[in-house]
Amino acid sequence: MLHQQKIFSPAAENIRVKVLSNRCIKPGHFRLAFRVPVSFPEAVPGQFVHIKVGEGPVPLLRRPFSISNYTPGKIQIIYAVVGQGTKILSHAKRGDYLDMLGPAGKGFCICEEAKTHLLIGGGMGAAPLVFLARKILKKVKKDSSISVFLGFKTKQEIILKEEFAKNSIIGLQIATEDGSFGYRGLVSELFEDYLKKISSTSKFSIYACGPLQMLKTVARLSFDYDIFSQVSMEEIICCGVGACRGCVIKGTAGYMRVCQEGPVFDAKKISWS
Amino acid sequence: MDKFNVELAATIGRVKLKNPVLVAAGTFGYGEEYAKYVDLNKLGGLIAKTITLKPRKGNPPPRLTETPAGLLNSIGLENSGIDSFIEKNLPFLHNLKTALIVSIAGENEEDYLRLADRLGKEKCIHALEVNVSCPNVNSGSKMIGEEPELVFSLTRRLKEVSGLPFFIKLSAQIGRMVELSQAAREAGAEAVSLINSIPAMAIDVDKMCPKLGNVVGGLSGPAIRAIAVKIVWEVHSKVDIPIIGMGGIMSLEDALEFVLAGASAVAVGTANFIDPQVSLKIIDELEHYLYEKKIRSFSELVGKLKTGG
Repeated sequence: MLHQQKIFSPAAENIRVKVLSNRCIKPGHFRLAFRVPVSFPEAVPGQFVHIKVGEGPVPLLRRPFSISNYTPGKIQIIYAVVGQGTKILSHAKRGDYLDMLGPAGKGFCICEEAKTHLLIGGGMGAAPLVFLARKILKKVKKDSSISVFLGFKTKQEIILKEEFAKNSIIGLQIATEDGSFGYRGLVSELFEDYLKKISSTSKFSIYACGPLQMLKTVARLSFDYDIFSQVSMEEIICCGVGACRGCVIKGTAGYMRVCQEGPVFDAKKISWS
Repeated sequence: MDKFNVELAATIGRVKLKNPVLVAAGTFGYGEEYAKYVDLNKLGGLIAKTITLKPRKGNPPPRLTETPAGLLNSIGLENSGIDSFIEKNLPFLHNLKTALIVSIAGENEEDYLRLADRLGKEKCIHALEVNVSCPNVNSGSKMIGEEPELVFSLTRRLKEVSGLPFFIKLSAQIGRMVELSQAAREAGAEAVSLINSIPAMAIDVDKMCPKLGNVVGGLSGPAIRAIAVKIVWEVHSKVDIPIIGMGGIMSLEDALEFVLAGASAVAVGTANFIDPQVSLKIIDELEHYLYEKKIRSFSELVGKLKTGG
């Protein structure tokens, strides 16, 4: 079984950034890009940016968004309008400024010895995986493969399908809960079906982002099949710098801060019960 | 009017601050977490996150939820204990050129006394803030901060073990704040810190369960500010003790409300989570405000509320 070699966590910066674009990619979903200085620390898939969406005091706290792409000088996020914060952000226009803290937290560590990279995303969990797939493609050897499993409630909610599909090296499978597209059922079930057909899982590596229940199932499967797995966890994030201890989740060795020790964790370090 | 320099220095009993803006306990960690984002040396002072004798793992998650203009938390005083604090955090804090105030909490009087005894030997600490009102610690017995006699007894005994100035931090015990502050004063406390977060709760009606893992928590942020200002005003009017005012300060205007109501200094709390720089902005703006108002010294502003027309 493969292991996590290192955890990459450059220090975050708190700066004002200029919005380059904020486009509606489908009803209720937006892709926002903003400029960062070229000197800005390189962001890693799985890390997040902590954005002050309004002038306050309602909503009060910053909102965390996982990074869906980074190129020198530019960061992109993809988000769904789910509450007050994201609604305000959806009104941001090109040229507007945002107060941003990032890149924060620890991202996915690309397992270089792995031959088969398995990416599992539920709903908006697909967003950081696009970035991750791109990074894996750049980093790993030619004889390795990437399989992406995405799950959504319905066909209407599918996002980022084209982004993954445009690269022929990536094998993409989609599940919808109502069966309106692809596999009928949960993405975790689709993933389990896939694993059942595999004869050997040596040199496999799992990367997952999505709802807690999905991550739980993926983690259990990774233990059953003895595959190293990393999961991106979600909690309400307050300070984003590790000071308030508000975003903790239960780990096997005590509480862990999602904003510092995470959001990406080795699945073995999380207390799943 | 001639150009003049504004004096920002503030005094809380024996404690001298270069300016009246502190950062509140539990909202700034042990300083180091924020060192990258804020010039800590510009703060009037730093109140380090509450430490206890033994490590505390804190409350089960979820520990936070947002309410309208408020932050509801049930952290539960997670900390690594005093030994770890002295070994790992104090060396960093020691090098800061700002007043260092350490918040302490115990399950009983003895805990507080032992903490004060140990910390009293550390030269870099300017004062101890005695947290007798954390809403997230349920030790089974009555909270010290709820009873004037307990506040009196604890403060009196603390003064016997250490010469450090003590700031007694109280929560919003509606109707008893004057009594509690009076007890702190009579026992020789240097000041009272008003107010701690207010016991509160929020419910997820979809899941039909509390939003916090600990069921209840403490409310902070702008939602509690008006309550805090009233308490500061009331205590200032009736008790002769310096006050450090806190509760939802997000801007200079908010800070000034506390000062005019009678606070000798203020602490910024929840706002640090949203803007790490906010305290420094308030300090700059305060200087400008005093200049514009032709007030030479910040201390002239304390309690200058005009009532009764």
